Amino acid sequence: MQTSIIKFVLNGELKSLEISPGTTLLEIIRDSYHLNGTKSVCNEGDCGACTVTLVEYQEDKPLFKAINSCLYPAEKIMNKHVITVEGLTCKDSELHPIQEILYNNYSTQCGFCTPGIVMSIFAYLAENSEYNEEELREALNGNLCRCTGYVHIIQGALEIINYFSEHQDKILPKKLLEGNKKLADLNKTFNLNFAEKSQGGRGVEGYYLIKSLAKYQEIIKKLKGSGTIKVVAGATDLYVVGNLRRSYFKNYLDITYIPELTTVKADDKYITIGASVTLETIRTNRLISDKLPILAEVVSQMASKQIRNIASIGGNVGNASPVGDCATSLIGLNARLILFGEDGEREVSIDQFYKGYKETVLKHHEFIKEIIIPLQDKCFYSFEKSAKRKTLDISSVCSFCYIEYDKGKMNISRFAFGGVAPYPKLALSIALELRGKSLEELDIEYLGEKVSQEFTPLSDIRGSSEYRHILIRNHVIKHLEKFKEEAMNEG
Amino acid sequence: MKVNSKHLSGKLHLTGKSTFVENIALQAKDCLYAYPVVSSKAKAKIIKLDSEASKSNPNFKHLITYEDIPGENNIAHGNGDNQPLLAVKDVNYVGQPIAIVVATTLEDAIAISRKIKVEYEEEIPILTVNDAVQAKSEYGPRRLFQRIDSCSKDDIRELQGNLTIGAQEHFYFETQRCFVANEENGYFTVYSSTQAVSEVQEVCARLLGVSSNYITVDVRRLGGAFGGKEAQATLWAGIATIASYICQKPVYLALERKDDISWTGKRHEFVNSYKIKYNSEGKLLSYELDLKANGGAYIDLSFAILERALLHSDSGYYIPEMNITGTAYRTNLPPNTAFRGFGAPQSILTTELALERVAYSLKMDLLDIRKKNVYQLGQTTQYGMEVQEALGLEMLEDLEEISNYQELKAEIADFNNNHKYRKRGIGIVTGKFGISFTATFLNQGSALIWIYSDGSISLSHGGIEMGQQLYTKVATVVCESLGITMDNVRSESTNTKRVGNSSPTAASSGSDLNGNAARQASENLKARLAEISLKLFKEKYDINVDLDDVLFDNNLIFSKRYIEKALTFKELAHYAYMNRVDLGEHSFYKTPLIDFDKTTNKGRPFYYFVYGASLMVSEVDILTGSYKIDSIYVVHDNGIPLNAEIDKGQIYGATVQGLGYCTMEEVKYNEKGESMANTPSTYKIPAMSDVCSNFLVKQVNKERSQASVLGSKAVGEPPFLYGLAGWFSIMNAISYVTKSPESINLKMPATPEAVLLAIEEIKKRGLYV
Repeated sequence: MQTSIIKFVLNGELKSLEISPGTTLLEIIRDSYHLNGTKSVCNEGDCGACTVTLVEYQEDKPLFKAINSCLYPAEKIMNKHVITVEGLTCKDSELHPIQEILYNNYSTQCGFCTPGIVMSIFAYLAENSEYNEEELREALNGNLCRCTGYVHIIQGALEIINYFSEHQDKILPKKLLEGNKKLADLNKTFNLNFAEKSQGGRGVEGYYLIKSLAKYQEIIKKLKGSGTIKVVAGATDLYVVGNLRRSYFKNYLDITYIPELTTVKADDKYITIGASVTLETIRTNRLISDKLPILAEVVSQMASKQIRNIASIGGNVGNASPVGDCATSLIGLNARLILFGEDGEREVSIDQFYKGYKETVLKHHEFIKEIIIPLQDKCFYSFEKSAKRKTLDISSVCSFCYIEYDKGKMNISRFAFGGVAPYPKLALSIALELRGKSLEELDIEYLGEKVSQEFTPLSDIRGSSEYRHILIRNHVIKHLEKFKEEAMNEG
Repeated sequence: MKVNSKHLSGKLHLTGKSTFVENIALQAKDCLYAYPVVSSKAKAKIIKLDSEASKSNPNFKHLITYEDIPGENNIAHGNGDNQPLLAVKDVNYVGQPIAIVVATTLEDAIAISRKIKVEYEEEIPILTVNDAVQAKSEYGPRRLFQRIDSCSKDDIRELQGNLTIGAQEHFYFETQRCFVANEENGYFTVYSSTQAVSEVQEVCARLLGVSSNYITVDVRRLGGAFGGKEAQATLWAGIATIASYICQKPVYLALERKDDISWTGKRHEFVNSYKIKYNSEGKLLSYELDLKANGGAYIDLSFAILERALLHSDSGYYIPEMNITGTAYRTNLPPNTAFRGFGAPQSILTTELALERVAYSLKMDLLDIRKKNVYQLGQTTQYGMEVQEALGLEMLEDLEEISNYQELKAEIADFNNNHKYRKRGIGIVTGKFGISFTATFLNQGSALIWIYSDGSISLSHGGIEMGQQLYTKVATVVCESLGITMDNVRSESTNTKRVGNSSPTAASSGSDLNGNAARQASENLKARLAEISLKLFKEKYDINVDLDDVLFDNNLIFSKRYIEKALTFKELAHYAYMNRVDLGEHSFYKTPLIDFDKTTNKGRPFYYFVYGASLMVSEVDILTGSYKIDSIYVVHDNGIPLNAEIDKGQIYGATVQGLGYCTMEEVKYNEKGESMANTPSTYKIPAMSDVCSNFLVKQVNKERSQASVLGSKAVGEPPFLYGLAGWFSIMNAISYVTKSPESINLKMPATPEAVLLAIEEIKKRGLYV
């Protein structure tokens, strides 16, 4: 049996720790190291109180990101530097400039959300070299606070970015800089062959960090017949279930680090996104914002920065949520999926991928490897999301509209909807209606009504059937109004 | 001059080093963990408790039922109800504790508690106010507040309507929790996350069948409470105490978030109906309002909450004829409880709605109608209290100015003319919030101060630090009085051994009651120090100082006549000790002038009012019902604040909480009485993105004839009302797409769904323009 001791850096110091599979990073921080500054508040990645900063090296450069430690599989800190609120200062009486400025701005009240806020700001400062209010707020949207109404926090945070624009050298205290050096050394012995461990209290036997497709097939062969196997990437969905229901699988196969899954490539005709590419990468990736900016726009309305930093696009498609924003958009974009399993690769169109509620064509032990999105020159894209809250909320209804048009006539069009059926789905009737029509011939209200009649959405916690019906109709109206405006502007 | 001190716990919070209950528990040796087995039914008889599941887990220690409680199985406090700690034969809400599992880890305690099976004989639950009305399931008789002043009966018009106001979840970040340490001789120290130490002490003693002095309750600070830990912390403290008693070990209990939301009470749902009469000039003449509160399964604080709702049904307005009735109902939901505002928001919102509809029906300006109806000096409220300081008009005029109201109105009209699918609206709310517990006896506070012989100070009082920075404010009072700086003062945890019989930290009273008591204690100590200082001045400088000339400032004591010849506070304290002067002082404060007769519903329940007004601008997407708040303006009557920045933080925080209440926060139960929105992924509180950058707060810092400690006024609850302007701003935006704005049917809260359905209803009724 291979050892399950992992090495990582914690607040500047090199650590080795034996990890029981199924444990979260938050549990490691609080239970193994007694660093109780990091708080456990919701345990499902929705409040940000457990935010810590992770450092990993990519091409000799340290990359910083804020994550929710409550949803982060502990195994994944191998060869990373974990920074908690305790890491920002050395002596008892000392304050980091972030803390000093927040203190002077009355940015903390009850104090329970505060360490998470500090760590989100810290990660934002460390990962960027230029700062602005919009991105700062983006970095903080995942940190809820019930006391302050946020005003004193924003006020403090704005002063912080002003200060650090001039004092970038003060972001990282000495011990964290040294920690990064230790991490760089550790990385030279980079090894992702993490394997099985005797059964922990939660009945989990193994958490495998897999580094290649070949290795995946090898491990699958070995594990066959030895209990449930779950393929995992960001784990932001799976670990919610673990935390809230204490429900686990026997073996987790983590495909995050397989190189083929982590890249974004593009040529003139297609953009190809690896399935484990994170949502935050999609939001900020140059290639995507250049070739397919709508996808960055979709993703920017999803979750929080902490979640986007770990959640993957493949996960959003593969978990088959009826309201997946990415899944819905990719249907609208007519994407194709490359699936990978024991028998190698196959390709499916994303609108053939879903079979029913939380049901896909994925076979046992098969996962999404890549997503291929065709690029069109003369076309219109539009995304609409209706949710209770502007950020950090799941859609009641989301929709994606794609229209190809030329010489004043519409050609192919696709309207995809999430939240209106057991899985994200294309509206069928409208494509025929639009084909060959000119702008003047558009009867927008009629089309909205027609699409709305195509679906029979359910009532649930995120909205009644009636509400969803109206939303379908009005999303169509919104898309087409936008289309009209854009097409008319272009003459 | 007062210096705005920073949050005394601020540095600790920011570095993650502050001590909460969990930190105390984590240091304990041999700590056991408790978790309740709760009812999965809203109303049922318990047939059998099957403990088999517990036995297979090696970390299991004990299963405790009501039979193991040595004292009285009742946690009700001061309301005459009988609320068992652990259910006996019946369960009355989903989440009601039936038994306690104790294990060596929290995870095991939770896992076992979920596996234990309870057999029930189910009964039909009462869940809604309507069910309760049908079943006559009332908590006591309907209360009536009536006042008939004469007024002109010419030109009368009338409007009536109903409004159901949903509940609200507290969503304090630190869930309910308690750590109990067993001590010698059957004593226990209870570290509870509670706003009410004395209540926890009393109930834990009752459960154990011992006297109160067997139980010490100690609270360093809470990770938020908002009323949710006034009465409701007691249950969890009681469970941990019983478990510690049975096991004779320290015991810790902390609820999981989902369980906390599912099992604990909320702000009361209210079902209100009203009839309002007015004349063509927009003068309100007569108001009938009936309030029905969903109290949940046990009384908890429902009586007091209903009472405060009735007392605030006038909002800020004088209406000559008032007929206000209210009833609280017993239902099979978790017992609803205190939440910032304590019933007032529910009646004020309804009254403001009635007033808005009057304005819409008369096509009157929303600010003008308020100005026309606010209280004037000398008018009396519906409970016969004379308004001795009428600041409503001043607040509204300030609001008009800071919001540039007339220009704003024109801009919005212009925007709305140019946008088909996006409409903006203005919402205004007038705040007038009565300060004092309506249960008069609770308006008392105590403080205990020790000056040690080195001049450092230990300050204790009965108030709880829960983020509102009460400790900082009370310490400020002490420093002001003794002329010392904050670094000399240690604010001690709130502990029943140092300060007994304390009232809950609630009703915005914390700094008034405890601050005044601490001030009195400081003044008494100061007098003794001043007296002995004469001797030291003589000894040290050979000067004769007049007692009346002695000044305490900036850690120095000196005479007006010999400013150079000063004593340090430290040396004077030491000198006083050496001369056997008592350097410890306990003082007591009770709020003067208040008196309220609960049988006639007349008197002076409040020492003073806090006034304010707010205005919000929202922009609604008519096609999706989603909206954003574009700007917020608040005017707040602050008195002479103890700490203007801390008060500002309270105003911001309460306004946003109020905004969440009326926009996105939606408590839902299914037909079985199970909580449906019980995680932050389904119950939404405002995020940073919901708070606009244009958020202007004007604190009116003026000396008022009616105020409290050092001229300050209470600030905890009143600003919650400001948030309600969000709801009215959305309604106002919708008014631009209808011919009949007075008949808009907008639900509360105005979720995007509610907004879209209100617009759809306008369309269906052919009123859309």
